[in-house]
Amino acid sequence: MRDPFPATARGQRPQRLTTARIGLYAFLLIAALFFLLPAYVMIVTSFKSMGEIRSAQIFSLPQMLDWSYWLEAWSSACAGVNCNGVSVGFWNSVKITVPATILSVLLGAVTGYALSFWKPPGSKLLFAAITIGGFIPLQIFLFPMVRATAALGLYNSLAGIVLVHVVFGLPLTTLLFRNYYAAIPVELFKAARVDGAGFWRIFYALMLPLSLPMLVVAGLMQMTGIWNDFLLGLVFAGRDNLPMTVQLNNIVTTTTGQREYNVHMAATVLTALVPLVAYFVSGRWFVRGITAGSVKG
Amino acid sequence: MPVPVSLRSVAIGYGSTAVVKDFDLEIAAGEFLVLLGPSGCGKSTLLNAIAGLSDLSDGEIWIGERNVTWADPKDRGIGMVFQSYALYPNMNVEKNLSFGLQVAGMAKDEIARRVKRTAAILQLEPYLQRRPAALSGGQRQRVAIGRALVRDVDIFLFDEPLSNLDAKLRTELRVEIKKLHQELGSTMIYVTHDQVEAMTLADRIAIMRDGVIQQLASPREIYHRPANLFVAGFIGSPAMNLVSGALVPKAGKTFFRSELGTFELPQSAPQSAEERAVIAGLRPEQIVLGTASGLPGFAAKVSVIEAMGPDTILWCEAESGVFSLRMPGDFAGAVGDSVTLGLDLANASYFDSASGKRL
Ligand SMILES: Nc1ncnc2c1ncn2[C@@H]1O[C@H](COP(=O)(O)OP(=O)(O)OP(=O)(O)O)[C@@H](O)[C@H]1O
Ligand SMILES: [Mg+2]
Repeated sequence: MRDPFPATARGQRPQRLTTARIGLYAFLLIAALFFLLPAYVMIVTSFKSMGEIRSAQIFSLPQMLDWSYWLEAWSSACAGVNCNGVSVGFWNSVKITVPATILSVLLGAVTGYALSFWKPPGSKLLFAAITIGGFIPLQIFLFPMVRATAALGLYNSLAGIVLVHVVFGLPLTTLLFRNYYAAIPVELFKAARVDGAGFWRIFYALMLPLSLPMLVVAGLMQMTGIWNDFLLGLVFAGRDNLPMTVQLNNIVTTTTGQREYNVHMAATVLTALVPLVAYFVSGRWFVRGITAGSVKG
Repeated sequence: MPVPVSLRSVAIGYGSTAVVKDFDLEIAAGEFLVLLGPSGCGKSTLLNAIAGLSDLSDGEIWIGERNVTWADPKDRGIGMVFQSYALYPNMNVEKNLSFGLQVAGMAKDEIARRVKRTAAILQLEPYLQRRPAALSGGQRQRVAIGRALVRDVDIFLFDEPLSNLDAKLRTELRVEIKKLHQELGSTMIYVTHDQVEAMTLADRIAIMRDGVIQQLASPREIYHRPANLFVAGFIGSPAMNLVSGALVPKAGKTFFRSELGTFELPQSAPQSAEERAVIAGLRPEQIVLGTASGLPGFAAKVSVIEAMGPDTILWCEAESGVFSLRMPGDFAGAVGDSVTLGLDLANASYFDSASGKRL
């Protein structure tokens, strides 16, 4: 045992490298490598010529920084007979992700707010149902959903796929916001009611500004989820609105001629780029004490 | 214009448990009423019901001439100060004050005028542009009061507004609230479990226990003539000294018999034609030191001396228990001194042993 009260103790405590600490760092390093290595391989491969790739040294750096495969992946890679690259899919994905993310997050905020503060009759039951609904695999809903969108005349349309994403996103966003609002002191809500504010006023003047961190988190989760979605896009979007993931798949699985690994890698990185950038940009919003000062401190 | 508030056979419950049952309370226009009681007795519940923030399960609430039982909070003409301040954290002080006025659709210059006036009354001008997070506890408290003040309401509801402040600030704000009431003359309902606040602020105090009013009277009456043992024990610090014994009639006179001895009661004390068990309650100032007073006395020993500044609390041990006395601040004595304690039985309170009710 180390002496807990050394007579020479003074000032800052010295950092010691214990075995536990070394183990922890080793684990973190391995975990980081596990995720970074494939990314590294993909990126270097996307710059290599087919000749270089065939030399089978997957970890080696490319001989030169050749962006042409990225350009090809973006605008002229072939999926079947269509040779437009992933760019069409990119814009389709933007058109799907932006409205679906905004709608599902805002609607989730409203429902979470209503469940937390207004507690309509049966709200506990409703919340339980929503929570359970969020855990049922969505494949189960696929066929009923097809019939429902068809009945609404929205099957195979942009509006249809957006609606489907919003519906499947709502349980999660509602859950997130309800729990977030449950931590806000109810007196805040009561004070606003005494001040005369109604349902919507309290929501947009008070609760929405207070939920900035949750809006970012929920927005990010929804955006990533919807951007990465493959199944729903394939089933509901229709030929003209296929999202980037589906088109990426079509490009990678097109089997005419040789497999252009460099182009495929570039297309894949392009597809993954959007959620990646979003995470980097929004990181600073995560830790923020927004309610500080509302109650006695 | 001050308005009266009237609660008529009000019942409030959470789920199946009733917190308040068949509750009646008439509050006069311009009155300062304090709801006082131990934690969990239903004070906040009642205040929330008056504000319209929770539903009644039975009964009516009237404010002035209107039955507001089903009215929204905003239609009741009330302002409320919450125990936890509940300032809007995303708005600065000015916005916190003006929010209610904006919601009501008031003209901009009128809003500015009112905010200015309120800020002046509460000395908040230097902080108008600050967020609540950048204010001290006392400043936050004043903003919370200002938010109710700015709307020119008829009725103010305060839910333990000073409970989390330090002693000095508490005294200052207590005086400010008192002044405010004198200036505005509005009806004020004030919840607290601090008896000093209750005694100093109230026109009348309603002492509650388990959702039932034990006594509703002026502070003076409550202190000097507590209606039952609960009130007697709840009000006053240190608590009333209780001596159990019996009233014994003898030769046309009534005697109080206890372990301390048997004493003749003066005519002003309760009389009884038959023997009955009672508990006599004596405030610390109703027990005196020494035999010079001519009061019936008994022997005791000083066990603790608490110097409070203006006065000194003396704890004395007698054979039958511990008694507290209030002595002047310059009291000179030592622990272990043998003393004689005299009982001011004429001014003491007497309670029925079985029911605890005042005789
Ligand atoms: N939301 C609730 N659900 C169930 N019971 C509740 C709820 N709120 C309060 N109660 C109960 O109602 C009773 C009265 O509560 P209330 O908040 O009115 O007490 P209080 O007198 O204000 O106490 P304090 O002085 O501690 O603030 C308590 O027994 C409490 O447990
Ligand atoms: Mg309370």
